[in-house]
Amino acid sequence: MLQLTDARTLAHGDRLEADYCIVGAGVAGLTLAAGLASSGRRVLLLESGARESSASAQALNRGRAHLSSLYRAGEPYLEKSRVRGFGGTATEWRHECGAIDGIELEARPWIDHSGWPIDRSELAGYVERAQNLLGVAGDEPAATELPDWDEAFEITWLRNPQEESVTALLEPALAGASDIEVLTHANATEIVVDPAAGRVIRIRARCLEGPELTVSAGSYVLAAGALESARLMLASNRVRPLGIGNEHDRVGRYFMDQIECQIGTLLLPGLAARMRPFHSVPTARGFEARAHWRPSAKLQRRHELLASTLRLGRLDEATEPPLTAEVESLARETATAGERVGSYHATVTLVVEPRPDPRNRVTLGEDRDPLGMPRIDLEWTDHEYEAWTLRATSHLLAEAVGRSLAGRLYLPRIRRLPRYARPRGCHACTTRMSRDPEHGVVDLDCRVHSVPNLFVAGSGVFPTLGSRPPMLTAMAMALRLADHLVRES
Amino acid sequence: MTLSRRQLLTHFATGIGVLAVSGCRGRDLTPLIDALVDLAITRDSLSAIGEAYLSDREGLPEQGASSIEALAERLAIDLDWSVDQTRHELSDRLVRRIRSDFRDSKTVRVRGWLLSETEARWAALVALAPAGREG
Ligand SMILES: Cc1cc2nc3c(=O)[nH]c(=O)nc-3n(C[C@H](O)[C@H](O)[C@H](O)COP(=O)(O)OP(=O)(O)OC[C@H]3O[C@@H](n4cnc5c(N)ncnc54)[C@H](O)[C@@H]3O)c2cc1C
Repeated sequence: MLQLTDARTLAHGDRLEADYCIVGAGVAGLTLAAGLASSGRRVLLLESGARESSASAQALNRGRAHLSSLYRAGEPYLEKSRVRGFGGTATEWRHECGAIDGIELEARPWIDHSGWPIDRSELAGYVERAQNLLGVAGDEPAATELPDWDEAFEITWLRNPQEESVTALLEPALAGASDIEVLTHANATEIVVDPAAGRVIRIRARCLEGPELTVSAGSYVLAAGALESARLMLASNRVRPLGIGNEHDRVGRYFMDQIECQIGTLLLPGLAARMRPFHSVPTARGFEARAHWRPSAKLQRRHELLASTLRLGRLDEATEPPLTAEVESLARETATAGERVGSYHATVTLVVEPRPDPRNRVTLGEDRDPLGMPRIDLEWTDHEYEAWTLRATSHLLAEAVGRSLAGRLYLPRIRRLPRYARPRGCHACTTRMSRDPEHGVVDLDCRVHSVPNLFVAGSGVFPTLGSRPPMLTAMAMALRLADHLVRES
Repeated sequence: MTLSRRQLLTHFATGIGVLAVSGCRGRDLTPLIDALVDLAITRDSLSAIGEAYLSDREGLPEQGASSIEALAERLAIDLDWSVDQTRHELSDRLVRRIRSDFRDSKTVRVRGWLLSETEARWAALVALAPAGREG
């Protein structure tokens, strides 16, 4: 049985014990707990927030974010893109699910630091288990009818769970658990390491108003989100001045988020009926799926592009581009096939994979939060490759559509990113996985290279983020970690 | 700024009041112009695109290449035109050329739309063709 306890009801100085201590009860922490549910072990989750998100917990997310001009100055990126509360950030919207795959997992010579060091088929197996948890497993709809522009852009599907609440989706898996407890209002403030053994011996936790506690466990997992897990490791610097697991100055580096940009308008005279799956189609299993495009691996290789995923959206009449009716007539005149009725107009939005760059990083700022923890100082400023990929991919799509004679693409010039683009709020790679400690923070088992009983869950461990929404992959990786922990015990 | 159709015609079409338009090889391109105008099912739409294309190019170095004569010459070469071509053959070549333009990145932006150079020139030619040449 999953039990929620308000940590404020505990006594000051309480020492709690568990087999596994997980910091953070967001999707990553809860999926990990679900994976450990049948282990018969005691699992204790420390969650900063409450059942519902609260303003005081949310204020702990404040910090300084320097994102060049990508995010309008003054907009609170660090607060707006994260939620503190049971279920974490994923409780705030209707999620789309798709796992990183294909070329996005490969080491691509034109993208430094790319390539996932784990086996693809192993990952795919865990993705399927994660899909089962969310009720989105099963075959994808057939894509034969959908245009792929002579295979230049392949069809890829994202899936929408029927249930909106992620915690409700995970509840059945957690319900069977023998001993899982979530302590709400419990903020982990320090990872304490035994200097001699180099192992974590306890985690200190504090309530905003209330007691201070410690938790001792056999293994500890940081699942506090890519930003907070890095912050906690850096701030735990009493014994190791650079922080925990930071011997090679990698913790907090390679920070990335996906960049999203509406690039233009697609006009396809006569194809309206065929385009419906780009908005939503019901599947045999009951969930909705939505078709997207992505540049084929061949196209990405030839043009040395970062990966991207393109989605189509409804065009509101007020934003119809100039000369739409005229270009539609032109396209009809030159069309070789297609029905004569049912014109299709849609906005095109591109999500670009960010480029791994160690200069983009989370560090500790001068300011402190009410718990005495240094606030985050985030630097993520160079988006040139992403901007170039946006422009190049848009142009390639426009050419592919034109070449097929099915329609045309309206592509107002995207000179600079900031005016059009925005970060999606999918943080990743701050504790990235690597074979060796010089290039990352965790090993292939998600264990911090230099601390045998400390692990990380969530998109912080991704070597690269890719262009797909990250939650499903993070869940798959959490299930993989759960299996590892069970095997190890 | 968008030029009016009248302004455009004055601007680019000086000297094409004469009926015959001769190309660089001394060919009479009038039949090609007639045929291309005739191919335009929706002449108004094509003209509007052509006008936008021409006005976007106003003041650019290649402006001279936007006269109806120059456009016809260029299209004659690109479409490998000969006077004995049927309407169907010309239309076929036009479509194939548009397709290959997109393949070879021979594209141009007209008010934000990515169009093939050939279709943009065709539209400009239709815009510049005197009213008597209605398709
Ligand atoms: C607007 C928006 C839309 C998105 N849409 C999608 C989508 O459609 N599909 C998709 O796949 N992804 C989407 N994402 C990304 C997705 O929400 C996140 O990747 C995912 O929720 C991260 O889960 P997590 O458990 O790793 O971290 P979080 O959800 O951030 O959970 C971390 C938890 O740890 C707690 N915590 C933090 N610090 C401490 C501490 N020191 N002590 C104790 N607890 C702590 C927090 O309170 C929080 O509950 C979206 C993100 C945003 C911002």
